[in-house]
Amino acid sequence: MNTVVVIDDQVEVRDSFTAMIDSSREFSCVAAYPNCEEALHHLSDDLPDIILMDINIPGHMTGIDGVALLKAQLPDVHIVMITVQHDQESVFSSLRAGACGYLVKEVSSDALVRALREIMQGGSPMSMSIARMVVEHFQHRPPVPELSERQQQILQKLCEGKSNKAIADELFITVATVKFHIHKIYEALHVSSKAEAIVYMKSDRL
Amino acid sequence: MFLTAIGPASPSGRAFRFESLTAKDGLSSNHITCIYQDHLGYLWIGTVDGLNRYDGEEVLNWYHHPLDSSSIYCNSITCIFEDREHRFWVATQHAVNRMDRSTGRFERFDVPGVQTICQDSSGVVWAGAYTQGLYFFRAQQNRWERYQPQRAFGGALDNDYIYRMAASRGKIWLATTNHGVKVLDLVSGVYGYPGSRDASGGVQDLCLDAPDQIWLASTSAGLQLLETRLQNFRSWRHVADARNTPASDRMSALVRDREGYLWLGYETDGLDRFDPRTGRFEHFRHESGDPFSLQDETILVLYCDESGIIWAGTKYGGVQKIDYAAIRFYPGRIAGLAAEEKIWCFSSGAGRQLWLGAESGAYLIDWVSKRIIHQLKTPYPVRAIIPDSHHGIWLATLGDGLYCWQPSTNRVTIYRHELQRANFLSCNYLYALIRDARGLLWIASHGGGLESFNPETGLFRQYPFSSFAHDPKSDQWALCLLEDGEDGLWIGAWEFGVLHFDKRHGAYTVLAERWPALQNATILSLYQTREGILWAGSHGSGLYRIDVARDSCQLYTDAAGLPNNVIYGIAADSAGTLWLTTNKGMASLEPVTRFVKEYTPEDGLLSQEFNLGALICTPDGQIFAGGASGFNYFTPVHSSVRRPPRAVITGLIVNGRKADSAAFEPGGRLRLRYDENPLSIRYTALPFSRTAEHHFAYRLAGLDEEWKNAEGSRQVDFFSIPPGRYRFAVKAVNREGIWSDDNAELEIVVIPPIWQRWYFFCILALALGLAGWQIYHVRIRRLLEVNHIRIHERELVRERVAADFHDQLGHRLTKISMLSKRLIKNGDGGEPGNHSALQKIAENADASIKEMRQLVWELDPRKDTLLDLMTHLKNYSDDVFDETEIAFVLDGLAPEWNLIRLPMDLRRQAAAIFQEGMHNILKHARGCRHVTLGAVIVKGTLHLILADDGSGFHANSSPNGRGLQSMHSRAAKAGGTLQVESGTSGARLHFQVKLDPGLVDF
Repeated sequence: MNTVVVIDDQVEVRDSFTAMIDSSREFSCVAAYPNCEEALHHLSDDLPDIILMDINIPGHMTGIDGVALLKAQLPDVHIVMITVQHDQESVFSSLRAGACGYLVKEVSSDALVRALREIMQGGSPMSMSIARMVVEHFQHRPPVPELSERQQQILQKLCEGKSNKAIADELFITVATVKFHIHKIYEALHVSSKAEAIVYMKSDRL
Repeated sequence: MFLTAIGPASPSGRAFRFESLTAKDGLSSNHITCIYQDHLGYLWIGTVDGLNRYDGEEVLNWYHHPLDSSSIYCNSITCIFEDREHRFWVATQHAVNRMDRSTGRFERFDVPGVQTICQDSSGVVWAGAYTQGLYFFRAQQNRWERYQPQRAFGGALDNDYIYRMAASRGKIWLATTNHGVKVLDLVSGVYGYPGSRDASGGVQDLCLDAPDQIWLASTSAGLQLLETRLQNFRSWRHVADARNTPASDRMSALVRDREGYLWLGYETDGLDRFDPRTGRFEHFRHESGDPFSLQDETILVLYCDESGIIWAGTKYGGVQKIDYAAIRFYPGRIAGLAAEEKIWCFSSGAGRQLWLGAESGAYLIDWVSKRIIHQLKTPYPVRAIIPDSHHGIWLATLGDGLYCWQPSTNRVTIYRHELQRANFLSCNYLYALIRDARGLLWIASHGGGLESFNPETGLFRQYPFSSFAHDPKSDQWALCLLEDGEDGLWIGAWEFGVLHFDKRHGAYTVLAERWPALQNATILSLYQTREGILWAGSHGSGLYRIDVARDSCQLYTDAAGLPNNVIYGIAADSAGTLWLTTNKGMASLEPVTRFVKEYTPEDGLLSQEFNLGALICTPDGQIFAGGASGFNYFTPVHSSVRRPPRAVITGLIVNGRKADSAAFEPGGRLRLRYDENPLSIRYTALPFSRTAEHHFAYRLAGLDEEWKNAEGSRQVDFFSIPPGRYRFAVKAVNREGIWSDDNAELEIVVIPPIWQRWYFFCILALALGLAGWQIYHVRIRRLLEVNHIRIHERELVRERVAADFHDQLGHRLTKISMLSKRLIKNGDGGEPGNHSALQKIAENADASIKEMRQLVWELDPRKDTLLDLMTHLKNYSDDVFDETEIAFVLDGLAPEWNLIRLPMDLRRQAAAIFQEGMHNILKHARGCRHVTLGAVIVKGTLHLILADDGSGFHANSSPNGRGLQSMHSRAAKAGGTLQVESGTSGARLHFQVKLDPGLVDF
């Protein structure tokens, strides 16, 4: 069973997500924390597979800041952002920091489980606007980790406003494969951001 | 400027008046070396110390300046010559200079010793140098070259002292001071003597006359005439004490005047005028004490200008001018008669005798000896003299009645007024006296008016003015008399003007009754022309011209140019010119042209003021005029050379300073700033003469097209000329009424101030335009800023509202949704009915969240582009079509979508329409596999099209019908239209709306 940790400042949200996760057979919520700092203390014990992280956590450390720290501590963990609004810029920042997808908070328990499942299977949805930001990110921020030709194709079609299904039809692949590639794109985005940060840090010090 | 006075006439010929132009008048030196008149009329005078230009009024000088290479090479001028191309050559001792008269700069040519320059008929300019040979000018190369004759006999060219040259018919004639006259044949190049050698001796000047005649001024052998065809010399040598020989054999200069006379200058013996036709010589020497005789007898150069004036350059006395047109006034000096004697009347005597009435008596003068023949002293002034061969000399005295004088016996009969004596002289104050053909004397007196006296009967008869005078106390005062045929008399009367008296009827006609201009006039003098025109000079009213036949009476006053309005005497000379004596000098009046010329003591008159009646023109043409101190006599001059004068502009004074002379050269232009005032233009007329000789008229075309009469004034002042382009023109008229052929002209450009120039108006218009535009722009920007601020404020409100929705309402709804779902999941609903209630709560909460999310998106001002709308719809499609087999494609995504801003309401309505459309596809489009949402802008209209490939729908079906109605309603609210098409191959929603151009950023 895959383990999940929920980080959200509102107890009702934490409780609801905990209940929804626990009600499934595939996932178990091992902990819920109101902020990142507390979560960071315990994650080495919790070792979740997935972290559901609220984007707008009040306090010193925002959700986006937390993503980077959590990802640094647990590189293999899948961090999914939860948000009330489709705030594309915040979501993209999270994705760059290491998140691999996002969910709206009012998601139904079935949809939540389905999404968690997809993430564990390596897939994750990507909206057109996120895809366009990804493309722009790779165009203007070297060093660029190489995306495969297929990933570039998918990214391009996402940018053009095509749904996963439409892309799958055009490329003669399954929707799941599309989602897998999207996941890889997220990872590449994360790597690139990390590399960029390293370059930045080095140059800053030197 | 010129000195003026009177000297005695030359013993043997007509009197010439010599006027001097010397260093006092501005010449650089009194030692004259050459004189030349250029084509503009200016007289150029070379001296041993500088070059001069004389314009009749002013002398300008040019000198050598050691530090200025464009100045003249040296100050010792030897020759001046203007060629036909108007190149102006000035030879100096060591170089030839070419002068640019517009700039006053000189170009120097290294040709030493040049004494003379001439131009041959082919246009070649030649320069003869003293012992340096002959040069000619190569115009193309702009240099002088030395000439070598093909053959020379009688000595080499270079050994000759060339002093003067003249070119004629293929030959150049040279006056050499060592070898006499020589000739160069330009065709054969042969140089030598023209005839027998030594005939002429040294020759200093020559003058070409008739085709075969050359006059030579010999330095030792008098006047020579070379008859070239005969190769023969004739000579006129000086013979002591003999008439009609040259004054000396040592001649220095000669010139031929326009009347055919030769003027001969001598080294030390003055000047001669020689008439080749008669062989007569007239000598002119210096007369001690007479400033208007020849002032210096060392003549170096003679020149005749275009008007015929002879200019004589002397060694010590500057230039002497001999003007044919100048009148020489002589003082009437009579031995035994006091010089300051008041003279009252003249009368011609026999032969060269003249009767003269003076303050002290009557005199008969022998005019040749200028001695008194007879005299009669009277206690009262003699005011009229009438010689009468039968009875004696009648004298009218002012105070002592009428005298009858027998000069031979000195017997005198006096007729004095006697009280109570009938038919006798009515008063002793007699003014005028005439004797008619019948032998009657007519007397004008103060007290008796007019009366007659018959010498035969001894009876007087009065013709009182009371016959026409309305006031019996009015003066019976007649001042002058003039016969009008056999039976008439003209009478000048005190305050009655001109009267006509009919002797047959004893009746007066008062001309003032016919011509009111004569009313109250006092007439002092009368003259009637042969044509019957009566001229009447008044006491203060001017001069009347009365043409009885044509019934006209015109008045001339000082306004018309008379020197004064008191006319004491009128006389006419043989040419018909009227001579007037006034209280302010003398004047001549040309009756036809009305040209008035004044004469003053500067011209040689003894006094400004003349006396009533003291004027006569004798049968031999001399005029005598008596005044307060003696009398003058003169012979009126009427030159046979009648040439039009030439007006020239001589100077410009701009705002008190002299302008560059280049401006008033022909074709010159004067440029003035608008504030350069006043402008004075000075001008004169050639021939050179005194002011009174010419009158002028001018106009300033562009300001005033009318010619303005400047009379004798030689300067016109313009105090303010508005900006513009003008042409000033001045013309001159001489006393004969001949106007100048060409006007002297000057272009004047007054530059407008910068604010009156065309480009200023352009700049101003541009500046105003810019300012206006700027103001407009600023205002628009301000309005836009205000608008932007308002929009921004609205957007801030929208953002805040959106944030509030999101942060508070969104979270609460999310919590409601999540909690209700949790209760449902846990089965915590309690009673069975509660579960469905919880389910509805969850659904409503989710729906509210979606609506809220939609609302937040609509409110968010940062999401207002077409791309935002399409992204929103794409995201929406991800939710709608996820987990379905429907592939959604956004069609036509273009970068410009990000530049098209959509109003909030349009976004809201469009989003709602197409979200509804997507739901409809999901619900109703069976078999649908592909959905395409596209956007395109055509001619400012946004077209949004949602198409599927399902089986279509029936528009009339109830739920769909309401949905479509709602969609149409939304399209209308957004200001657009919606078309819904459905068929077996799918359905199509087409929304189009016209975009506001201001919201499209491309």
